Amino acid sequence: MLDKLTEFQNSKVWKTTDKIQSAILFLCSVLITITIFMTVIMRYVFKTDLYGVEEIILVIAFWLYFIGGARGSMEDSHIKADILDVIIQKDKLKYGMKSFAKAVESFVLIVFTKMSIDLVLLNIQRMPKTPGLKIPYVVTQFSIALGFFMMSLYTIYHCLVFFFKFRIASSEGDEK
Amino acid sequence: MEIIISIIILMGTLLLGVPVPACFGAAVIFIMVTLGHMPQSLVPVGFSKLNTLVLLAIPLFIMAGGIIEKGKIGKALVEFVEIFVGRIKGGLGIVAVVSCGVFGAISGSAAATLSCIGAIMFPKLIEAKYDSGFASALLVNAAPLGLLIPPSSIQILYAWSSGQSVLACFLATIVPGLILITLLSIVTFFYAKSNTAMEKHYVDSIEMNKLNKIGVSTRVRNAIPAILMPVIILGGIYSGIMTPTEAAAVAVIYAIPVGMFIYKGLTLKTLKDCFIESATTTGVVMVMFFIVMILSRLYVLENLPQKMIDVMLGISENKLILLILINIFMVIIGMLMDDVSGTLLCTPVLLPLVVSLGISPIQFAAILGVNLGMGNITPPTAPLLYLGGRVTKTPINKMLRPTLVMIIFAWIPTLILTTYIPQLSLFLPKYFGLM
Repeated sequence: MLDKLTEFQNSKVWKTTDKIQSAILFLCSVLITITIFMTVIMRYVFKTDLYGVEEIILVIAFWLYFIGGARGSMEDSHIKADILDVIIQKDKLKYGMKSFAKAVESFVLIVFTKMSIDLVLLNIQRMPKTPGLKIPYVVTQFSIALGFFMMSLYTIYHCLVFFFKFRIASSEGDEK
Repeated sequence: MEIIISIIILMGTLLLGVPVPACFGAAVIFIMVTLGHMPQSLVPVGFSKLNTLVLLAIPLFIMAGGIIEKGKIGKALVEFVEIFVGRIKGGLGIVAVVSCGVFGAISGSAAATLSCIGAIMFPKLIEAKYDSGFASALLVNAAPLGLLIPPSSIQILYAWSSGQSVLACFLATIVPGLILITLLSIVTFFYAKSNTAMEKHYVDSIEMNKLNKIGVSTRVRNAIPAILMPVIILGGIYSGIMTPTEAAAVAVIYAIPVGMFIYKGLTLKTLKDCFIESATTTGVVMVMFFIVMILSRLYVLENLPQKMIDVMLGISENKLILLILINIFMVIIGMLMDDVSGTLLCTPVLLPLVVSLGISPIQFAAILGVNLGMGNITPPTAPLLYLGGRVTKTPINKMLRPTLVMIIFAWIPTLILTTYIPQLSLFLPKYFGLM
């Protein structure tokens, strides 16, 4: 089972998702940098302001933040205190703790996914908009829901990987 | 009682190795369930807090730092710094410390500073007969200068979450940063003095430099494009021409041709990777920020800051003792968490307390910066210590003793001075009329 799970990282689904995420992140980074740079140029060179540009930048920024967060979960690079790695030497205990930590993380992320989806559904009905360009807030808030959803999926995946590593380490320990 | 349990959940999950955003999230869910807060009202809190241009300075500075790190600007900077301190005894160690400070003024990241300057300076230090444990520890201890010398991501976060001026917070950490540079240099000087192998190499290298006559003008010319970067960033912000976010975007645009055509370390492929890596790092930070903002709102609604004030004042009403307790608390937080999480947790909880003690929020920016910088190198978490071990391929146990010496003789005095002499952190913000 562990082999199948590890193999999944080489699957088309995983690689395509990674490529889409990377493309969104690259595009958002470039757009944000160029747009903010252009506002400085417009202000000092052309003595004018780009109306409502801040609202567009913030929409892009949210997509960058939450797809970036999802990619962080894919890489399992969210910040954590790796105290156990230093203290615990036995694989069985280490993987057991890691799968438990991932289970806690999965639970929290699922709750946040639910809360963000509820907000999106509520705002689809109310349809509040930004004051300047009248961009529906739901465009931004959808990125939060999608981001938490992706983070949940990746975390459940890592939880399973650690769980099966724990089981292998347990059975090896029993054999000894 | 529920609040205390939520803090226990936060700390407990943290110790179990649960990623920091989920630790904060677990505390949020516990408070939400036990104290009956409406889930519908919580996500909009995080959304409204993140929906601001000020915070965009963070991803842009992360991007600029990443481009610089990959653009091989570090070598030119190191050669430039050598002009000024290369001939002092232990000069090469001092070059490493000062270079970390200068690089910090460009990248704003301790990890980028350590990776870039560490990779350049460590082989030089070993060649100059420095002990590998000491050399590695020196680089690790100097890396948090990236957090103290502006621009600094954690100061942007602190300024935003506490409602202070970003500029004032940037300026508040400069003097503590300079003190740290001086003290680390003094430690290096005394280390060099007691090391006879280094003494011989030092005399030889001065003679060699005399023979080689490595041109000062060449070094200055090579370093100018790199040195111009902090000038553009800080000059743009302090002159009022640009906001910190705009300055960060300009820094990214400036760093691309400099890294690509002048220092020739950057290619289109590395640039693309750099953007994606920086965006991932940003996502990791911002998701955490999103959840912490919800938790801090819940803590404020449950009156935690006032309760903290009452508890601390119950222990002692003496300002000096309370400041020691606050510092101990922050050092412990710094030992357990990274600097960003520490800033986001300490600001809403501790700021009302320090303000009630008559301490300026701007001075607290400096105290927080020094504390969390020290936390970054103090085990058990110590992310920079482990990163330093990887960059220099030195065992952590060899680095521990010199790190402890530097904490005692450089970090703790800097912390004491920053805490008890407010003028050190407030002088520059006052001078520039920001207070």
